[in-house]
Amino acid sequence: MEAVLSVKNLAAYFYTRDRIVKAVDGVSLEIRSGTVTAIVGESGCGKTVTAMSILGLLAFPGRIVAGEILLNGRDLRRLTLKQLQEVRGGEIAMIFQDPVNALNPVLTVGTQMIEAVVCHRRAAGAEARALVLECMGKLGLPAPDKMFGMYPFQLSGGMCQRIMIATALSLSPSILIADEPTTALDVTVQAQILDELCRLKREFGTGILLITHDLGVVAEIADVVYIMQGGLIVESGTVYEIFDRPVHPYTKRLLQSFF
Amino acid sequence: MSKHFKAGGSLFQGGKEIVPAVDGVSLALSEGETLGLVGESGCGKSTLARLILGLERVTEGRIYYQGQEITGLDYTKLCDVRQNIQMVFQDSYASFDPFYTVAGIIGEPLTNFGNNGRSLGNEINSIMERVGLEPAYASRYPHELSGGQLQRVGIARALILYPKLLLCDEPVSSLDFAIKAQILGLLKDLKQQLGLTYLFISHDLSAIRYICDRVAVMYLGKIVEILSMRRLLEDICHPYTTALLAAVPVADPRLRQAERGHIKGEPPRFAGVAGGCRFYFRCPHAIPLCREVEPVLEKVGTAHAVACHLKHELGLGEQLSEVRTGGPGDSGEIYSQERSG
Repeated sequence: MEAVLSVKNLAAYFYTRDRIVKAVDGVSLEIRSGTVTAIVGESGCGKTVTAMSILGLLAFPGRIVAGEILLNGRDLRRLTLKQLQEVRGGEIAMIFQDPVNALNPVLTVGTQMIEAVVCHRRAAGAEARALVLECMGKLGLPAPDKMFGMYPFQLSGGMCQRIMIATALSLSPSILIADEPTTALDVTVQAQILDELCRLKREFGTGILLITHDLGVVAEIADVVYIMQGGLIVESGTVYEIFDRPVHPYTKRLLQSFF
Repeated sequence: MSKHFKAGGSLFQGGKEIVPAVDGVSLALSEGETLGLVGESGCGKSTLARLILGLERVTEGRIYYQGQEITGLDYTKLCDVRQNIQMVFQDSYASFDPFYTVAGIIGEPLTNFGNNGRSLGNEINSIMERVGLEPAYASRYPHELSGGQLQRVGIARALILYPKLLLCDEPVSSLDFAIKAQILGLLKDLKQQLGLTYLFISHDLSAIRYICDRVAVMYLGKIVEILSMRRLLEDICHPYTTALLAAVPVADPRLRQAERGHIKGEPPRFAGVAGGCRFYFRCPHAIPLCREVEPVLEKVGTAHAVACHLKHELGLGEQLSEVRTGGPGDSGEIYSQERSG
């Protein structure tokens, strides 16, 4: 299968006052549709910066200094801001670690979901509302009609994360970047969210880029794994290769420290 | 000598609605033991710890420490008790004063208890060494430290009075896995060196399994099962405990289960519970009796107590251990299996 998104030799540096922090220093990876690709590493290893770079969301003082980000053969680094905005959400959606704070607290979840749909001109008015409600139903949210008019603070963390995934789903992106999607959630809710992600991959063929530090989550849903350390990919392979025959000493250490 | 806690039902009264955050919980913690307290967010784990320390007012029931009642003590007496009971908080960064240096934070309990002398610096140094912090960090501020280091400072602050009992409220849940393993290892070592007793609160069963001797499972303000860790897989009986364990991801892709026997949904609001078993709405085994009568926590083994009407019918333990060790079938079977009762 052809890779939907491929990142080649990506380097992103942070130019701080006293030094240059090489957060990502030559990362190459591929995401195929209908698979879960996981980037695993400790905090500060550059996982999130890689994801942010893909979407062009790296903020000052961070900057992409080298590399190509090819989405279906198109280099995202060469796009204008307007073109990039079409890609964000439309073709590559992202969900975040802290779902409650990722939503706007003063708007109802329905308004926020419709905003995404309307922005990308997928639908408008009653049609947009119907689309949003349909997506909420698909994700197993109870009573979508009622939840549509609720504010994020009225919902639990797990529900907010489902809203985020439903929003992403409403634009049927080919890639979903999930940055530590379950770290802030209870294990029971985590298991349910992981099931939803698996369903997304199976039923809609979405390519998922999962960023996590939890090897349990990786073992549970990932197909391809990249192990990252200090801005570099130190080992990559299928989930079975990584768990059965780790080669790099860092990977071995990771697997040992997990219990 | 044993430490006895009896924390009894407490009610938070806010406006018209009464939320029984901790509702008729009885627990005894013996010296040198590590008791795990596990449950989903909002089940009352942290409230229970805060009640023990006297940070919240008990609505009903009594708490005993070394045979003495410590419920509703006045401030000075409570301070004496707190020399022996200390707490490590989940978000250590938020629990520090950002204008204090590390040495100031760790030393504050000592100064509070009248130690202003020359030994202060030495005490701080020795405790920092114990928790694995470089002496150079003494003059740093909290924002200059990483999450793991902050948690070490939190542990050092709790230990500087050399308490007997340490309440750890989710000490590792905001940490990275590698750091998490380090901190858990540190807590285990410290327990041996200093003869501590832990109440270890977590929603993470893997951490609990690593460090605890016994585990109490809490659901909506009640303890539903108490188990000895060594016999966890054999004894496990309450459907909620089973579901909690099944939800923990296994670090082996070959044991991956497509649709596992997850419990669906989240705990209902307290107002929704009336009579009957609290787990009724999410329980895959529920029978009509569960709706009518609330099960009480009953002893079924030497170190095993469970609150479930079907405790004798549900021999879930064996099947679960089979699944976890890659035996036949998948854990979906746990829930699709017919009750023999």
